[in-house]
Amino acid sequence: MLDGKKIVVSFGEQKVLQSVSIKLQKGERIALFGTSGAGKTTLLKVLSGLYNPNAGEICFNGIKPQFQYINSSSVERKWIWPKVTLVFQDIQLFPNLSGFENCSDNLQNQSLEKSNEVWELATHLDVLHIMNKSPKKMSQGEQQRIAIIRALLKNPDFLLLDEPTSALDPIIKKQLGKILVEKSESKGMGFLIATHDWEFANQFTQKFIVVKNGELKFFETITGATNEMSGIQGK
Amino acid sequence: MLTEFIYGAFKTLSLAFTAWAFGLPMGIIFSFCSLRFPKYKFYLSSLSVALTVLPFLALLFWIHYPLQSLLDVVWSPYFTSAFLLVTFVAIISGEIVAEEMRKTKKDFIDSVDVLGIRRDIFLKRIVFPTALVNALPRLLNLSVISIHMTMFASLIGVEELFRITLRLNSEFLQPVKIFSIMALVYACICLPLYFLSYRLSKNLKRNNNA
Repeated sequence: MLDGKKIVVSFGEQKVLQSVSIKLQKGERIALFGTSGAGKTTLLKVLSGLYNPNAGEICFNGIKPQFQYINSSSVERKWIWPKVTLVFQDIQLFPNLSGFENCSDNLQNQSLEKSNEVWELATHLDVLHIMNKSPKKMSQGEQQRIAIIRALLKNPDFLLLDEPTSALDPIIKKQLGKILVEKSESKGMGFLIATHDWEFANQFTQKFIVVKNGELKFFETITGATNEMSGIQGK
Repeated sequence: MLTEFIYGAFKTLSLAFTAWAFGLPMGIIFSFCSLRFPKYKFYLSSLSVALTVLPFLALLFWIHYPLQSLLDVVWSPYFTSAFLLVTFVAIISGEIVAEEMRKTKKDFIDSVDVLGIRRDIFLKRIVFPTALVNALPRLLNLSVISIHMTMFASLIGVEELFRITLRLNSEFLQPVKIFSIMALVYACICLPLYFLSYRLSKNLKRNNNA
């Protein structure tokens, strides 16, 4: 279980998250909504062990992330990665490596090209033909799909995704949803997806969270979340 | 006259080649040390500032005359010039590569951490190759500067292009013709490097914007 307790994150005067708590169970599929700048990405970065919150704690089966500050601009972090991993909104593929190399553990493609799983995922997400290309020669949507494959190949217990469908067409989006649900059901992978895509969330997730004024509101149905969001956007 | 110019150009190129053959590998070692140990980062940056601020000529004179008498040794002017140029290239290229390595590391460290990629693999496969490619235009510019700097070696007696030009001018007294030939030889050496650096920066900018 991935457990975040009373997390507080501030950037200067601005409090982005105010003592929020969240629990992700094995195999759970959750959508995270919120207006731009509400704190969705910050929450994902805290849950993935990248940000050290100002207060509160994160733990995965009792193990907490460790932060060792080298100097004011450098910090060494340690955790159970990639058991908990994150797909970034800004993708972050390694620019000097091919799609295959980006997805492999040692960043070389020898073993990976023969792996069934990568072929299967790349075929389903329609990127097999570009797996040998450099990210510079890929569209944003293609890069996004490779980044998702890269994270899925690590077989995480929890996958956090930051707006992964923003550059995907409806058919690929559906394929992605099916893959995530299949991983969740067959391997018990839980996922938390920050998105503005209501349809995707309704189709492929079971629970809904809205980030509002630095707090989290939990909903069992999409209608509740939609109403909450319309309330925010209507104001 | 042409033979003498060719000899001078050869000496200039040999100084520049020595500076890069020894300076760049040393610079790369310095950049790794600077990335790994914060103390080295401070030393490398300070030395790089010192070499940029202090006139090369002053250092050259200081190492060639007072230092030799202080240590009671004699070495050739070529050695002094090569030593100083190697030091200059090593420190400045080290700082350039280290800066690019820090930038690349900062850009991708989050991905590397969440994907559980080992740091040594990250350094070897991502940080170093990416930084070197990004640093290439600046390194080529530095090579043009270092070729021009070989001129100073003439002032302590190295028979390179500038010194030969001065000598020929004192013999034939045709400054326009002789200095124009010298400028042409320098341009022939430096222009390809300059255009390569320009093209690489343009490609890098386009790739980064893509």
